Amino acid sequence: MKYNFRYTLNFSTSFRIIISFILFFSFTGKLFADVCVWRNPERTMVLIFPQARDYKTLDRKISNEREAEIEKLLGKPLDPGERESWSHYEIVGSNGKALGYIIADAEKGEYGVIEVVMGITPDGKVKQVYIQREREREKEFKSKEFLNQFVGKTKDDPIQIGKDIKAGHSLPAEQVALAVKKMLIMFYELH
Amino acid sequence: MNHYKWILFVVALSTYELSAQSLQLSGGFDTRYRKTNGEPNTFELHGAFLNMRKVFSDELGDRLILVTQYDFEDNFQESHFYYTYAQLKGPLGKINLRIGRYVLPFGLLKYYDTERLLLQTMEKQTIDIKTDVGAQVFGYLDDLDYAFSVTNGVGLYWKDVDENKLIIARIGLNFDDNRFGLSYLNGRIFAPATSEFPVEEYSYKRLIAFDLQQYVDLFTIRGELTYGRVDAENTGGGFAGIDYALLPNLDANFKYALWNTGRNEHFIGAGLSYNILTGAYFRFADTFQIKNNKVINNEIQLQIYIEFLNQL
Repeated sequence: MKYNFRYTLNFSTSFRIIISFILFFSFTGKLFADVCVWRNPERTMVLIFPQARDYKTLDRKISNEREAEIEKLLGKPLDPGERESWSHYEIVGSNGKALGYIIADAEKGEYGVIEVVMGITPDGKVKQVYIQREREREKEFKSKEFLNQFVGKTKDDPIQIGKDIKAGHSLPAEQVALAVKKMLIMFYELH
Repeated sequence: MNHYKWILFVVALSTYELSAQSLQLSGGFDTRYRKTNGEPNTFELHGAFLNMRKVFSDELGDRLILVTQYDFEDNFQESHFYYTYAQLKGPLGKINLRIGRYVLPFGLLKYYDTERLLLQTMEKQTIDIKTDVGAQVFGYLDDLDYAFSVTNGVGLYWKDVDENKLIIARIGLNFDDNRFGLSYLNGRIFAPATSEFPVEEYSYKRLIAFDLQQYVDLFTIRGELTYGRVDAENTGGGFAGIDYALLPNLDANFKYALWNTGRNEHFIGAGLSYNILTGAYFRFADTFQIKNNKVINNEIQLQIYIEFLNQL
């Protein structure tokens, strides 16, 4: 008994599909967007908010005007994949109230992506910074001494190595500081 | 064309007023040049996919997640749903119910699907199929994760054509830099004919697998050991894969796999993966399949892979 489970498309159908794909993604300007996977989100959420009962996904679209404002505050352009939309997570406690928010960001280190997850209190201060994944040789930026310096920071703080953050001027440390600043600005502008 | 109705159904749901979040749309193109023993060289759009994900939330959190991915293969000559499921999410992901077609939670496949990579893991040897239709309960409890799945065991078919079920259970531990899992599989599996494996076959399998993933500095190490019975024969094998970061945008990839069904069959591969731009990769790989001490297949592949993401 032969079962048919796949469709065979003719050339014109295939052509239309290809053109549709290209036009859709070209006109919406989302080519080469970063498809970032946040591994074990529940585990990270409980690490940062031990009282968490649940979480809610919050998506925000970014207008051109808002993108320009974020880039002005950040002092550099957003990466591809960060310009159109932004997601963060509201952490809900047992009484149904928000305990805070979780945001994830990825920045390029010397040997690949550094994935940073950050907890923010409801009043917009850094609660904790967690390095989820990295492949760097230099590990100072993963130390508690370094990461604890971000706790309590807000978007109005400089968050710069050598100013309010003490560390060697290594690329990974600079990139973690950039990630924290970027996530705080995005939170203030888009939440 | 009935399957297209599922896509329309998900798109229609995305316009539902009570839906809290936007529709996340992602996709990708997998273009390959292949030079294989005894076959003409090919250059084709090996695959393309369109993925849609929609999250519905109530006051306290995410409650329903709808996901579908439609894949096109071999220059759009073939197409099918890779997965399509509805997931009811419990508090903080401690318990979830997933119904529909989904990626099976056996061994490394639970977290690492090599469908669009050049160096493949062992599913074609171990369980024959990667996705199946059924129901799965899974969740996370601190560092521990679990999954229990009952499916039709018929791969890309939608109906249970052999009226036998496939049961998979997996328990795992997750830490910052490593992850371990123990899986059990029991059931009759129907592996449909594909362009790569033209013979369709039934087999009754009972397998147990141990899998691990470890990050060590510039290395990402993955492994899987499988042992059990396929029909009346004992069988077993293993997979080891290593990715090494040569440069910020350049990885070296290696794999070795062994599968024993009476005789040892070896799979050896090496390759490079270059991250051209965010979401765009150029990959190269040379793979060998060795049986009875003879190279029965040598394949050189070049790939350009591009991913998209959008929110509507």
